[in-house]
Formats: sequence, C-alpha cells, structure tokens
Amino acid sequence: MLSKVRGSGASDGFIGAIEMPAAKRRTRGEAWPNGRRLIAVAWAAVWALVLVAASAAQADVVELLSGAKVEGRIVARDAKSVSIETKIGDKLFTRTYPLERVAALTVGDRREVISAGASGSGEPADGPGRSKTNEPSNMGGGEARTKQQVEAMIAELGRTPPDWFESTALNYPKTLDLYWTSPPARVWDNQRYLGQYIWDVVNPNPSRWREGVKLMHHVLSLNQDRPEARRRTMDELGRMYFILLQDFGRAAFWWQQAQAQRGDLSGSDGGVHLAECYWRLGNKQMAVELLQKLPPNFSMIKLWADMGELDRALKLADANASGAYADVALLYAGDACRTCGKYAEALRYYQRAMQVPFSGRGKGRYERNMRRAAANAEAIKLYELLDLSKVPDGTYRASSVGYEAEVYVEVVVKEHRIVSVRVTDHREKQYYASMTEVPRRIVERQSVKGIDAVSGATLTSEAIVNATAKALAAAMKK
Amino acid sequence: MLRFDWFLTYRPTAREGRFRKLLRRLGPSWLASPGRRIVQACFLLLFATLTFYVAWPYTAQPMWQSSGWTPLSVDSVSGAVVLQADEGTPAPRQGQHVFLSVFENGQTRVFGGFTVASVEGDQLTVHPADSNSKSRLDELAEVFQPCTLSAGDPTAWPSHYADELLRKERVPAETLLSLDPLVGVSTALASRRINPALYFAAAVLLLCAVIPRMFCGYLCPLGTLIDFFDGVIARLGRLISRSNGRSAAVPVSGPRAGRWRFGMLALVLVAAATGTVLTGYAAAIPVFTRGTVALLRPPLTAAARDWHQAPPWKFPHVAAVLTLFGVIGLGVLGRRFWCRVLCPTGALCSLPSLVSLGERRVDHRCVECGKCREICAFDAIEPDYSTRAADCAFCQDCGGACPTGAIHFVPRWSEPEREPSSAAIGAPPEATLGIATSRATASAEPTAPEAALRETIAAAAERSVETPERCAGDRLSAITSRRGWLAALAGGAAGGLCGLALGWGRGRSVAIVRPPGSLPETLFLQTCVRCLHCIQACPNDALWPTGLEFGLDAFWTPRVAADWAACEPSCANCGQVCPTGAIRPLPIGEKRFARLGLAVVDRAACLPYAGRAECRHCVDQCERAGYRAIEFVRVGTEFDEQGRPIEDTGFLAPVVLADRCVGCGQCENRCFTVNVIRESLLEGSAIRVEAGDGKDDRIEAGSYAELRQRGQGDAPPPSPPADAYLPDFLK
Repeated sequence: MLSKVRGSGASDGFIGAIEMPAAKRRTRGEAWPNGRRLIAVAWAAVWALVLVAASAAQADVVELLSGAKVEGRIVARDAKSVSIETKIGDKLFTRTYPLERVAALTVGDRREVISAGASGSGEPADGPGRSKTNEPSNMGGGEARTKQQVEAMIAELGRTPPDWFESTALNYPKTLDLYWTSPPARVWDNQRYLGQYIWDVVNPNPSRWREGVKLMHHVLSLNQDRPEARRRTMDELGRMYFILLQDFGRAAFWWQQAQAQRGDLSGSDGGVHLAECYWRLGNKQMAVELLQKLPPNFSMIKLWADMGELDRALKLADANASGAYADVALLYAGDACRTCGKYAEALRYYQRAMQVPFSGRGKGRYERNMRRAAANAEAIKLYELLDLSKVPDGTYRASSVGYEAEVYVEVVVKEHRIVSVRVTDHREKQYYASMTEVPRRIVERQSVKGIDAVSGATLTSEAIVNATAKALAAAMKK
Repeated sequence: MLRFDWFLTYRPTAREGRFRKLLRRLGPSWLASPGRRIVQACFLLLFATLTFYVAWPYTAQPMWQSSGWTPLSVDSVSGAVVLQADEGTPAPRQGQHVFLSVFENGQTRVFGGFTVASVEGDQLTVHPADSNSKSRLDELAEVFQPCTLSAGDPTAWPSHYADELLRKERVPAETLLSLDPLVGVSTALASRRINPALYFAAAVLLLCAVIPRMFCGYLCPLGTLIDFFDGVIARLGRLISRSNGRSAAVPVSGPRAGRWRFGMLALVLVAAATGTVLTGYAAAIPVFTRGTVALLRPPLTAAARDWHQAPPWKFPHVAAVLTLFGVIGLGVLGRRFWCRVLCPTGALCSLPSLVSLGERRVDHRCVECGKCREICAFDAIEPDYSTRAADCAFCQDCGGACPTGAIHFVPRWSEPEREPSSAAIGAPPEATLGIATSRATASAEPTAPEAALRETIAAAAERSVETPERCAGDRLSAITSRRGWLAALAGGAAGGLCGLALGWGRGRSVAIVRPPGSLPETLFLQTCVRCLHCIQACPNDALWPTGLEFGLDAFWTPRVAADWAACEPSCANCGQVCPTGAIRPLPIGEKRFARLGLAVVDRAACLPYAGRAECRHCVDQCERAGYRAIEFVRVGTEFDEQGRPIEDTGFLAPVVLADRCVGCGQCENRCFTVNVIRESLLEGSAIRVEAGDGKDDRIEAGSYAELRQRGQGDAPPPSPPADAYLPDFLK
C-alpha cells in the first residue's frame, strides 16, 4: 500500500509502504513487562499482515474543502470527524479533521462526497482566497504527472500572476533604460543598462528578486512590438523565475514562449534548466527526453544526479575530467556523488578536483572551484564520514573560528561515545549559553550533525560544533 | 512634647547588653544611632543592587527555543497536537506556553501559541492557547517536518535584554541617581526643561525641609562609604599612635575648613544657567556611580564572562576612579571632609535647613563634656554646644553619645525649655546616667573615659550649671556669613566662566555617535550628568565614556564604540537607566527605529570595492541583526565586446540602504573584528557609523517609528501604474 500526502505544505517526496505503527508501539512497549512485549510483537506482526492484505489495493483519501488532499489509511470515523494515518519516512502521522471541512472521502475504491461544493471529478473545490493552496505543487513536489498534466500546469501557472505580484512595488532607478539599448563598447553602468542593472543589483539581493521580476514584466509590456527585445525579456523572465524564485512552472512557461518565437533554448542554459523544470514539475521522462536531445553541458551533471541517475552524471563528468574544464567536471562529479549519498566517492572526486592545475583561462572560476572543492571535501570528512566507532578512546583538541576568533574545544571519547565536550579557550563576546548548551547537545545527540545553534550566538555555536567535528575527524582511524 | 529622637540613649559600658556590645564593636556611631546606620546600609545596598544587579545586563538569556518536534498527530476537532522530539531535544515544562513554528523556504511560519498539556518521554501533547492558533490547526496539519517550540513569537523582534531589565526593575534602576537633588535641578536649569529627576529632587528637598540634610546623613551612599573609610582611617590613626606613642589620630572633627560647598553649589548652578552641566564632576551620586562603575564593571564582567570581554581601561575610567578615591581620601583631612566642605549636593540639601521643621536642642542637663562635639562628623556643633543649623545632618550621633541625655530632636515650633523642669533640678545628673547604679554594684570597674566623664559631671554639679535650652544658632548666618558669600561669589563667577568657556567650545566638534534615543546634542550635553549608568547597563560594552578627544565638554559622556561592540538589537537599557532622560527611555519597539547614525562604506578600503577580495561580513551581520539594511552591488564586472558580463568577474560589494540603517554598528564591528583584528587586512573598519545632520535621529519628543515611516514614505519615487502580468500578445 502506498501512502502519500498532497497539499501546499508538503513539499518533499515521501512515498513508502505503510507498516505497523512502529513508532507508537515502541514508546508504549517500554512500559510493558518482557513477556508481554513478545506477545505484543507477535500480535503486531499478525495485524500488520492482515492490514497489508486488506488494503493492498489503494490508499484512502481525505479531500478537504481547502483543496488539500491527504492520502493514507482512514483509522477512525464518527458523526463529526475523520482520522487518517499516513506514513512518511519512519514516522506515522495522524490527522483528524471535522467533517464540516471535508469535501469527500475515498475508502478503498468508494468515493463519498461529504460536503456540498466538492465536485464529482475529484478536483479540489475552489473557494475565494484559496488560490494559494489550490496552486498545483510548483516547487518540486516529486509527484508523478503525465506529460499532458505537466503541459497543462505550465500553461495554467504561466498565465496566472504569482500571489506576491500585486503587492510588490515596481521599483527601479529613474536613469534605467527599459528598452534593452545596447551599451556602447567598454561602458558599464548598472544604473543605466537593464542587463547590467539585473546583473549587478537585482541578482545579488534576494530582497530585490520579486521587484526585479515585476520590472521584467513591465519591460515586456513596453517591448511588445520589438521581437528581439521581447524574446530577450522572456528569456530573462524564465531565468529569474527559475534561478531566483525556483518557480519552475512559470520558468518553463516563459522559456517555452521564448523558444516558440525563436526556436532555440539558449535562454535556459541550453535547455538543461527547462529539462529540470519538467522533472521538478513531476515528469522525469520529459526531462530525460529533452536532455538526450541537447548537446552535453556541465550543468547536466548536476541534474542527472538530482534525478538519481548517478551513472549518467558520472559518465558525463568523467568524459571531461581531463580537459580545460576538468576542475568543473570533477567538482560537479563530487557534488553528484554527494547528492546521491556516496560520500567516499564524492571525497575522491573533490580531492582530484583540488589537484587540477590552472589551465590559463577563467582565473576567478578556477579559484572559486578550488575553494569549493576544498570546503566540500572538508565538510564531508567532518560530518558525513565521521564514524564514532572508528575513534579510539582519548582526549582530542581542535579549534574553529567563531565570531571573534578561534574557539578551542576539548573532546573526550570513551568506548566510542562522546563523553564530554568542553570549550577550553575563546574570545567571544556575546555567547549566552552556547558555551555549555552546544557541548551538552553534542553529547546528548552523540553526533555533530543536526545540532541547533543557540539563538543569538549562531557563529559561536557553529564554531563549537565545527571544532568538535574537526577533533573527532582527525582522531578517526583510517 | 513631640520628639524626633531615634538615637540609642547612652548607657555605661558595665550595663551594656549583648546588642550594645555588638554595636560598640561596630563603632561609636553605630552605638549612638544604630537606626541611622541601618538606613545608610540599606541605601548602600540598594545602590549596589540597582547598579550591579538590576542595571547589569548579563542575566539576560535569549528566548527559549527547542527545535526537532515533529507533529505526529494533529486533531483539528479536539485541538490536541502530539509532537515527537528528536533525540536530545530539550522539552518544555507542563503548562508552559509555547509558540509553534516551522522554518521552510527560508521563512519562519508561526502557528501561534499553544499550552503544553502533557510531556511523556519524547512525546508532547499541546493544545491551542487561543482562537488564532486554533484556526491555524489546518495549516499545521499540512506540516510533516520537525517544528520549533519557542517561549515567544520567533518572528517578533528580539527583546530579551530589554525584557530582563524590566523584569528585574522593581524599583527604577536609576533611583539613587535621581535622588541626588542636584542632578535634577542643575540639568533642568541647564536645559530649561523639566526632567524626571526634578520630581525626585523636589521630593528629597521637601524631605530635607522636614529632617535637615536627611539626604547627607541617611540616603547618600557616597556619604556612607566616606563614613566607612573615615572609620578605617580613625582606626589606622589609633593603631599608629599606639605603636609609636605619638598622636597620629585624625582630628575628630576637622578644622572648620570653611563652607566652600556653597561655592561649589554656586559654581554648578551658575554654570548650569549658562547651559553647561558640571554636576557630573562634583555632585555626590554621579561621582559615586561613575567611580564604582569604572572600577567594578571590568572585574565583574571578567568574573561573569572573561577578562577579554572587559574593555580596556582608558583615561576616562582612570579619571573616574581617581575622582572617587580622591573624594574618599579627603577623609585624612577630617571626617566627612568632602561632605562638609566641598559637596555641592550637600550644599543644596543644606538650603532647606533654613526652613526645616526639625531641629536639635540641648537642654539644661548638658554638662559641657564635649562628647557630642567629638562624635559629630558634620562639625555641626558650636563650641557653646548650640547647633549649626546648616551643617547638622540629623544623624543623632550626638544624642546617643550624650551621657546626660541633654540632646533631643524636636519640631522647630516646640517651645524651648527656658527653665529646667522642677523634677530635673532635684535629681543629681549622675542619677539620670545610671552611673550611680554602676557605682553601687561596684562589680565593674569603670573604664578610664567613664571615670573622666564622672569627674566632669561632678564638676558640673558643683558649678551647678543651669543653662537654658540651647537651640540652633542663627540659621541664616551659616549661609549668609561673609565666608559663605565669598565662597558663593567665587564659585558662581568660576561657574559662569567655566560654563561660558565650555559652551563656547561646543558645536565645533565632530558629531559623536550617541546611544539610541539621545536628545539633540546640545540638549544632551545639558542633560547628561556623566554618571556612566548607561555604560553599566550596556551589554558587550558598546558604550564607552568619551575621552578628551572631543573636548572637555564631552568628557565622560557616553559614545558608541562600534569597533569594540555594536548596539544590541534586543536591548533598550541605556535609556531606561538614564536618570535625567538625556537618553530617552524607549520601549524596544521604538528603540529599534531610533537612528544612532548611518553606516558609511569607505570605498577605498572596503575589500570588494578595492578589488582585493570577496567579503560579505557586514551584509551577513546586518541580516543577522534583523535590520537588513545593507545589500549587494556587483562591482568590477568584466564584460565582453557585446557588453555581456563575464561570469565570476568582479566582487559583490556592500551598499547601505539609508532608509533602513539605524547605525547600530554591527557592520562596523564585524568588519573590524574580522578584517582588522583577525586577518590584519585593513588599518580600520571599512564601514563606519557616522552621526550628524540627516544621519541620526536626535529628537526631543515623538516617535522614532513614525519618523522612520514618514522617511520611507517619501523615499521611493511614485511608481507608474502596475502592468498586467501578461503582455497583450499572450492574452
């Protein structure tokens, strides 16, 4: 049995077979005497079999008047409410809704309409002010959609303004030229030329992204009758929706419009970004088809890895691992392995990337890639490959830069457990409880991953975690 | 007859109980008038508590937060929400009010307040605390990722430093400073403006009109400290004289060094009239507060945190501590030398004595033994045992020291005893003393002083001195004596010169970055008493006392030393603890909009502008502080022949948004810490807060938030009507 939850708040892919409510059992089990625990486990196993057999066919669905849909197993229903269980990862979630907010219930293959306003086709009800929750999941839901559905979604989203559009002010320098006038040679003026303004002022500032998109829509309406400017504007809109706002439906829409006019996909990184949009919107096949048509391109490495096709990603990377762009290829290959959870391989690629000599072109890019490779290799060593069972007993010291200067930490390991973490020296000024709280959290969690910073002392907290990770990583037996 | 006596009546050593023995060990004035000593101790303790606990910022902790709570079950019907914690997540208490929020897409979504119904292992059941959170249960039902619990709304502006002060402040933290009447009077006179301390001053002066110089004798913690050190000096003197046989004792009551304090008062007041506040240099409580803060704040900070946290001692600190030590050290010239001779606050408190309701009287039982003159620290008893009204601080030490019970404190209107009462005539003076009893029992040998005393009394009985009751001397004479006038004239003239000279120098100096909510600069200088109280309340020592680099006029006034530390967004304490309102007491919602200055980027130094390196410390810091007042611009972009930018060329450089920047100095501090101290890339911070016209908000009254809104309303150009989302050709 598959269980899924669909709704505006659910954004990650989470499809998994339903099992016993293991989490609940476990916590209750602690209170049980040993003999009874055995019986309980056996009973649970039998029940699980029965359940799987009974409901193998289809998930139950609760459709809400708000348009959200919850799929899982309906576990309780009375005159006023309905409860549905759904499993995500290893956690079992229960949601109980009053029937007055439920549009329809599907149990097995029988769909029951509860409230008026629920349409027969299973389409979500449309209420005023609900446009946000109605919007198809546009941010990379990971749900499978057919090609027709994806195309329909792109067309629908592309033609509706995003919910922030109305409330965003149109704001740009008075000196700005809105007609894509080409700047004279050797002139750079980001207050005058549109492309330069976007490049220098809009792109670096998240607070200006929506404003920038709004400006671009304005520019589009000003340049309607100038085909070249119009195409350029639409390419730019696609790029902004994709890179800045991660709004894949609208990005795809504007790139498709630009392509329809001109016949190429140069605006979307040679089409790779458009392929990503298709995948993010729920159709991997469309993405694969498009990618296979396109000439090889470095950004494909990342997309193949994101889609889980590590072999294709690495094939592409390895083919370029000795050329003028070896640094890029190896770095991307490392990222690809990291995305797919292959940390040891990722580390090897990063280390190879760091040894690539400078080819003589693109110094800025080369230096940045070297830094990134080093930083990523370090992070993997410190966090992903850290294995406490390989750390011998002992006291280890390391330091990391906090707000002011180095924060020194001493870690004691005994029998492969972190026994204590202590800050031995520091120059921090505002650190609140971080000096005691962060070590406590590390010891409690027996890990340096997922340690929350103490609010108000983020940098200090991070430094303590980092220094602990460094100390442990250095102590690990190879 | 109504009496104000609260001294402890004399009793010879032999008849002392355990209580009196203890008091005697503490000192003669403890024995004579313990109530007064207790009041003094209480006020000294109050001063210490208010200055070093209430105004001390480091008890504050940021809002409690705990993340990693997955909403396993959401019941929109009953409202019960079951949350499961990740391992090692701190849990709230049962019954605690918490806010539930989730961080997604770079934003925090808050689901409102909930009450913790039960905590079982790693599971927590909460119920909505209000209708808002109840109505948002459906939103919460759509969340399947770990949420964060927090003690307050996590999206609200942080206010833990401000909240902590308000929590601790049962009595205003600046109470003792406000009680110094000269603080209120002189600043009000200088600024021609009513300020909160003036009300306190009126109350204290009224009190002094009932009980003369009550402030000096009972309330003033500086006086108390001087008393303590006078005691130490006296003991030391006795030790020395005992060891070398020569009298090294300090004169019990110093020579009449004149009442220069009236001159000091005139100096301060005339200077204030010309618009210059000299109060801070001379008035009791500012001197005391400044000295103790400069002296004790660094070790306290070191004890609570570490030595590196304590800012380096500079000239203003040293000067503040030396002033205090000097004032105390004057004790070698005589007891309460500062209070009697120099203290302008003491002089101001002496003025109501002219009309005071209480007074000290000596009746016929006086045997002229001199005990009262010996114990009087204020030199308030004439050789004929009458009272110097302007000097008497009503400490009642004399009353307790008088072996014959001749001294009383009575309302001024009570009829003086012209003739000794018939009952008193018949009784031998020693009977009232109880010396007879001690002689009768004869078990205890009288001590040497007591033996001498007995002789004096016997002599007096033989002389049969029967003097009419001695009242206070001519009250006016103290103040209107030629010396008094001379002192006042000289002081006034000096004050006028001083005030004019300092005032003339004002306004030419560079604008100093002042604490948030400071009055306009001239008014600020006329209101600030240089007590360093704001500096004591400032977390991380963002405020430092100004040295002489900005002129004598600005000496000891607070300035923001953003290189060392920046103004804390969650704190508004400097204004809260200011006694005169030179820094306006602002709620945090106002303070966060009050501009201290404006951050200005030095493009020649700034690493990205200079093309030297990538650097985004100031932008990140501003973001963390919550102001988001610095954004990026790409500089040094390289481009090809078609004018297209080349990827990865140039640097992102900071641009300060003047309509959002409040000049807190977080950026300057970060740049200094990283690029100057840690990396040694720069000589000084490349982004600095500058104050001055148009860069800071220095207003006398009104809202900073509104000021900021108006400013923003004017800023953006009227935008053209918004276009439709779709162009015509796609419709």
